[in-house]
Amino acid sequence: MKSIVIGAGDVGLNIARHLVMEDRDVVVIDSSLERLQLVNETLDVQTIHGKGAHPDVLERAGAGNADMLIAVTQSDEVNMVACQMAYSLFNVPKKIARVRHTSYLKLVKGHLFTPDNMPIDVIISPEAEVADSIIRNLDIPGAFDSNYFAEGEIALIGINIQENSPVINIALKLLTNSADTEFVAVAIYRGGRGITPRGSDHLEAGDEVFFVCRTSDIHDVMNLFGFESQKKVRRVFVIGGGFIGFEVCKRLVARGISTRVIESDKARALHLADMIDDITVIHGNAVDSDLYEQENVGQMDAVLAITNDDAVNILASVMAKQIGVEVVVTRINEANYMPLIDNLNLHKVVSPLEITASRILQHVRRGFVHSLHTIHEGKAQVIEAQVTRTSKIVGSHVMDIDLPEGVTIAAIYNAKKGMILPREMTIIREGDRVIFFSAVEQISEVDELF
Amino acid sequence: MHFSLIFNILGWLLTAFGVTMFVPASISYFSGGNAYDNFVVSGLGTIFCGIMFVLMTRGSGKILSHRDAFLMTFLAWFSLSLFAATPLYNSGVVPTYVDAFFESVSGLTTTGASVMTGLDKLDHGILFWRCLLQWLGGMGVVVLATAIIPFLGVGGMQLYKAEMPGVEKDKLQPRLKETASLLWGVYLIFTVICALLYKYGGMTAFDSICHAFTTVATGGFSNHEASIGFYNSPFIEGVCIAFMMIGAVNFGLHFMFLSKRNIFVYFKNVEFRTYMFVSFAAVLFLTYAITGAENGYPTYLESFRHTMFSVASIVSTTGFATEDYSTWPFVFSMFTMFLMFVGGCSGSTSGGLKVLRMMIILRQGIRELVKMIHPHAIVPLKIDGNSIGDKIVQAVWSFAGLYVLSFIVIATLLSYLNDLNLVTSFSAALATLTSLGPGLGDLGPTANYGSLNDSTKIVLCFSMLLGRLELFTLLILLMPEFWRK
Repeated sequence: MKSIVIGAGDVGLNIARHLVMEDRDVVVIDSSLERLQLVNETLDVQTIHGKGAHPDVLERAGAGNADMLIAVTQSDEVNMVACQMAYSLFNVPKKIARVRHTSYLKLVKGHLFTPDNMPIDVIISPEAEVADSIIRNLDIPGAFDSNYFAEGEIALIGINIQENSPVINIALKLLTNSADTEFVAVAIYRGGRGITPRGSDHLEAGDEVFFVCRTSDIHDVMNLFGFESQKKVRRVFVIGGGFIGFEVCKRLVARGISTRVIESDKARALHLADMIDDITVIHGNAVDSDLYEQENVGQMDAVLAITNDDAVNILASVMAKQIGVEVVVTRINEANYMPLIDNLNLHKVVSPLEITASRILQHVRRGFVHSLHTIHEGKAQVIEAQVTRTSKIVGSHVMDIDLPEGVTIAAIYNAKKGMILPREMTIIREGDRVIFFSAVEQISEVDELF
Repeated sequence: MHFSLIFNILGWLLTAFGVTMFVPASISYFSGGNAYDNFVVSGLGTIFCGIMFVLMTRGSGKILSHRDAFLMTFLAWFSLSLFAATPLYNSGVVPTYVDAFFESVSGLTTTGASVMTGLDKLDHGILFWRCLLQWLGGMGVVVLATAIIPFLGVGGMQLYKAEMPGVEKDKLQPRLKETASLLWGVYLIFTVICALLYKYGGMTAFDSICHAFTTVATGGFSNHEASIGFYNSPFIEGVCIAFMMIGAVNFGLHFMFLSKRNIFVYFKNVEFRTYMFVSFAAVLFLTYAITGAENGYPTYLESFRHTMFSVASIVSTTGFATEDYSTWPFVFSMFTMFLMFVGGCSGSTSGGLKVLRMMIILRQGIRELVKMIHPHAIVPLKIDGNSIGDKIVQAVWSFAGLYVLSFIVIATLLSYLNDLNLVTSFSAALATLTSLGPGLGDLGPTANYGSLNDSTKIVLCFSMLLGRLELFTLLILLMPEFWRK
């Protein structure tokens, strides 16, 4: 199982890390020796120096026996050509490219990206997905992570248990029984260590909890955990107008939310003002407290710190919290910052790298995976998998399935019945989708169940 | 520094090493020798120490940093040498522990300098142990460990870099584990072929295995006092020359040859071409120089045969001998001293500065000259059509500088500690630093290092380790900066 990753930027590095964690052979190609050195120092992969779209470089990387190529360089064109080479010269079965420019993306649904024209199996454009994720985050107060399965019917929500939460010290069993709404706790992280939740476990303040519930029940479940429904977000202050900032602003404006965006680059600021109507663009420093006062940032319903610079985002988020903004979303790329984030009480964190990696990993799997999300910096995954006639688990009771240690069934989705909670006697049928939680080490064992 | 992790890995390594001692033990037992109990005792002792390390430390959870890797690699070589010396000392074949340590360091570093005499009558277990040490050290014990120990992960790459000789240390396969297994696989294949050919050429089964170990590892230990000259067989000499040269060629190249089944991969490689060209040119020149000379040989054929063998033995830093070349006309000693310096190709089992480094140094010199003529010219330094970055050129130059400096310091220490003459001290310093083995002058191929005093032997041990670990891995431990928190 050999995968070639072209482009050793943040995204490429992170994807390579995930693939290595899943026990795959990985070759990373980049034209910068310095980046490759960094890759070599952090991951057990092979590195090839050169331009990823060049046939001789692909040859050296062993494209002939690779079963996947992932092109995530800065350039859309390089990514596309690399996929073309992989298809025409090396017959690589699966080709994934990052394409960011709208001009290309408009054609995704057409016949451009087909083997006859441009043979790319999967196009990923992380900006749009990250923007969606940020907007979703605004909808659910208190959650630091939210992902959706089964065509949006089932939600996976990550929350931090607050000190005044009413659920502290109540056994999970009682909690799930007493509530009118159904939910399943799939993972608890306490002090950085993962716990597989059992009925007798109870929650403590500071725990990071992931649970699965019906999308329509989210607010009820959140109430149960002590997060009150908050007033609707009407005014948002966006810090950073880059690729992601642009997409976020477009979505906010489309929802009729009053949006202000601050961008430090003059040309970029002008571009934003040109491209989006009904938006206030401010050209200035992202961490200028005078400017915050001028623009009344303290009165905003939400602040989104989503520049390309993690340090700026963290600083801006802390400043916004200090002047009384309740909902602050922070974009973080580097996993290294994560411990710091917890200490700073910044709970709504969006990691574009993780989102991109999730999308790619979903396609890395064999055909049965509908969607996949990585959680806890990639140390675990939640997978929505299709049960087919040949699956090992088809027709068995949930209690009879021999799950590897660290793997739990979170929910089952049936097209007619919707979400079903996995009880001992629940039977898994052909056509169902099973939502699994798995530590990354056990992923390959989960694959075998299908 | 993660001492706990380092000692954990070390513990596993020692345990595995202790187990290998049972091989010479059984050989000694079944060949009617009496050293088997020494091997069993040493083996059990080594396993015990290894298991103690493993039990007292925690291995998983942490990742070996690059600093840890340097310390770990040095400790691995040092401790394996210490334990490898115990059966030699216990069995009484050497008088002191320092002698035994010298012999085992010389073995593991594939130097082949010996303090032992009366080899022809020695216990087979002891003889096998010396050769096995060279074979294990040839491709590198730490590289072997990365193929076997499961939990090294990324840290393994640091270890690989700390032990593998060469300029650019790329992996052949995406995973380090596979790369290491492949290298050892190729190494094993050549060893087996070499042993079969030796057997075919008339060696006993035992001798052919032992000599195959020390030939492909470019080690140079022999089971006979007269080395390969003992057999006086042109066929065996031919096989020996071929496999010494094979051992001194980049194993990445061998791997490419074996996987593509195309002999031209060798000739496409400029380091290989240069290496072969220099070796052949040296043979022709030296044949011409010593034929008919006083202490030389009367006929061209005879001097060609012996020159060819001696040069192959020296450029591959093996150290086998058929004749005592230190008594030949002095031009031979003079010329081969330079060949020793260069050694074999990068990524091989040989020692020395390595051909690739020498080429970079020479081309950098030419580049400077061209720049003096055309001050504004842009002159890239190319090897095999690829530009070599200034960073690598700098690293190569500093390596060469340190190499020469180490050589001078060691040679000076030798003449001070043991009152050796110029040729002897220079050649002994070079022969240990480049892992060749026999020196010139008083320490030529028929002589023996046993007569030196203990402090000299310890300096030589240091020199051998320094050369095998390519200076940096060992010298970095001497920097106070390294130990600062």
